[in-house]
Amino acid sequence: MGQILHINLTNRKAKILELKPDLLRKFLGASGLGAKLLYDNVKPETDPYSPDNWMIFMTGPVAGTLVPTGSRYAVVTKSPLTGSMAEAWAGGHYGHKIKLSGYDGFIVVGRSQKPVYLWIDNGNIEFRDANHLWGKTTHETEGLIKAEVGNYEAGVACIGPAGENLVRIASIMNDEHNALGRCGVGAVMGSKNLKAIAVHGYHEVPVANMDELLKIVFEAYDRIKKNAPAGNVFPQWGTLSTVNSANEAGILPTRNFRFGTFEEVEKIRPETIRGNYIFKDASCYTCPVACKKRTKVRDKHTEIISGGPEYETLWAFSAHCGNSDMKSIIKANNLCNLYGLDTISTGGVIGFAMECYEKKLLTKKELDGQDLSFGNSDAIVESVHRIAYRKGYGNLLAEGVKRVAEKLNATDFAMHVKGLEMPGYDPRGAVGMGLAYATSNRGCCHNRAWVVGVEMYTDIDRFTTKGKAKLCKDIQDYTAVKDSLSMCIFVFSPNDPAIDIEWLIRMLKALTGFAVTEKELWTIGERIWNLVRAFNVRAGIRRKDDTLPKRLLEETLPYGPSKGRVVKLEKMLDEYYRLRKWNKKGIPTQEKLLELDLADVAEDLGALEKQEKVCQDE
Amino acid sequence: MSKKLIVDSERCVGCGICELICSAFTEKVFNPTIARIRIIRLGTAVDTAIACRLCEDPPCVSSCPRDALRANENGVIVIDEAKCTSCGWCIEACEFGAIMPHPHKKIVICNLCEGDPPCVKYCPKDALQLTTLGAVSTKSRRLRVKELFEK
Repeated sequence: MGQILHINLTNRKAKILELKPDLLRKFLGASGLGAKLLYDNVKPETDPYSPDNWMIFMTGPVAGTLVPTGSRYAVVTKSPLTGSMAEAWAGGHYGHKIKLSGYDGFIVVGRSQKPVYLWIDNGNIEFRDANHLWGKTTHETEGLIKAEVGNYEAGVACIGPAGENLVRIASIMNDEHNALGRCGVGAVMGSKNLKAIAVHGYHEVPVANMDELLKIVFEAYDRIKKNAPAGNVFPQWGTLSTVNSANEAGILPTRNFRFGTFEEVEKIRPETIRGNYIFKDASCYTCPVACKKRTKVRDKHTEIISGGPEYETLWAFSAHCGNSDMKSIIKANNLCNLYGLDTISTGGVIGFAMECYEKKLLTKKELDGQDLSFGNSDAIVESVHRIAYRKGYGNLLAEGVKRVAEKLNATDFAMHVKGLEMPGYDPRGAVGMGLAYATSNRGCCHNRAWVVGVEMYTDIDRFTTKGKAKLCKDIQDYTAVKDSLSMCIFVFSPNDPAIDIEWLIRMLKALTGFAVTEKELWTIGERIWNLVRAFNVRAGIRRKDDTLPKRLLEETLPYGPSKGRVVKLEKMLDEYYRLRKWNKKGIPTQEKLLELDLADVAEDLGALEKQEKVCQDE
Repeated sequence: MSKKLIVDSERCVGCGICELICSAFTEKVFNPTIARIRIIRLGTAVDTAIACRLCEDPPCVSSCPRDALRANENGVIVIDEAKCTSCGWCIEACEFGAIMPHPHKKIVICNLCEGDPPCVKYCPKDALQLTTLGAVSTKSRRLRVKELFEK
């Protein structure tokens, strides 16, 4: 790795930044490096929509090589949904195309006067007018741009109408069906009047020891083939098989987390979907797993060919909304991809609105005549349209669960953490996951620490809080390493990983020539985790925010295998802070930060605490 | 009958591993744009890969104004670097887009790696095969009848 392109949309100038090797050794790449750049350059109080906010598109050191699952990329920016650091990752074929362009990533700052898209071709950059693309769906945009630049092998990452309309749950899409989904990164791109970034080029990725690396790569292929999740479950079912396990454990959140099992689960089981809707498998670049599923749906006049749904999307538009109509689920998924909407958050806010409607906090009149009863599949699809275009009640839902709840006085059953809508595991039947949700660095995310995988698929007791703080912390730190290498969780499943840390160390040595130790890698993970936390602390995040919706802490599930449980969070949180060496307010201690070689951060947080103390004394 | 690189589009997932295997084994670098086999993805519905089809009476050979191309006894196209001027007529003539320009060499075409292509060996979905058209035809017949039978 070596160069990133710094692009200023305000004055349409770009410059090359050299990456110092010590920075890479400390933060690896992708989201780790992105976090460092954001921390150093964006003030924590910055308005996410202001030109001062940065968008950092970064690959990891393994992108563009044969290292399995390595061609993912990350976007780091300040989130309009959570007000803290946004990190989003996507697969597909875009990551390696960034590498082909000759850069490891792009930093986008400022704001264009008029809609613009960027064409980065083999090192050169062009700022191109995007007036004619504004309002177009992501698929139309991708097709038009490829035709315009005359390169059908170019990669395109773009926003749809949702991002343009500053919908707070907007995504960025690449290769039609791959999403930088969470935290509203699409809205930040919209606020910059940036419709798309197209990339291509002819650069090769340098490798320190090719023969050795190939040997290590083929060893991983072998391990992946023999590994249960990566070699069998994901190729066959994608993420969909989680429906079965979650329902069986009573943690398939149903009707806005009021129930843990879905009575119509038969209609949304992976076997049903594989048999009736999936017509082919697909994969991200250089990934032998090929978890992606392509689906086909016909209705009277049209045929939809779509990517997905993934488990989370399926859950969000089905059990969460009390809906079992597969056609509507695939349709809603496809619309989210076309409009550039995060499927988890979109399904999340629709399900929440459904409970508000049931409780008469939203009336039919306020919903423009729509009957938002649980299970009304037409209303779900209609809501997706309206959210993307901020039309009628869609304008309200486009703000996300947290803001809608505050407006309607419905915070008790608003299923989000720090503003980010909840994913599809009920932590009342997997309490470690509750801690993972509460402490995840980007709001309520299942992928910063997939503790539930360990709780669902191993012998570890899923109801006990014992040992969960340590489990959660370890998975978070390791995930930070994986995310900064920009590799995929599917070869790192915490319950049964296909590749291990010893393999990672050998791979990094062959690829970069640098020897890292196991201890060093763990420290890097912890360093990145604490750095993001420090940014968030400076943006106002404290212990009070490391929590769960009231429903999960106080209401029990009425029936099913997780009946009668709540999440006892405080105890786990105390232990978690102790393990992290954070103080009672949730602020990393000076000791911990210095131990992680983050002296500048220690200074910032020290000054902040001093200032807060002065305020209290006064 | 000479063996060809056959791509089963129903199995291909568009992972591009064949491209990087090709660039790594032929030139010791990772760069799909110099690979002799290339993946093609059309929208959401189609993933496949294309390499030289070893045509009988190959149009690339007959199109070359300098006789720089010839088919050897196995049907593999051999390039005479001394004669080739990178004019690109062969690239235009190939109906499969299986001839690629190259930054340092003149042009590149898949040569089946002396009958043991690593792309076939490492395709994770077994979508690539080095086989004869006769074998493909037999397999297709069996498959179609089996499908009919299962219906």
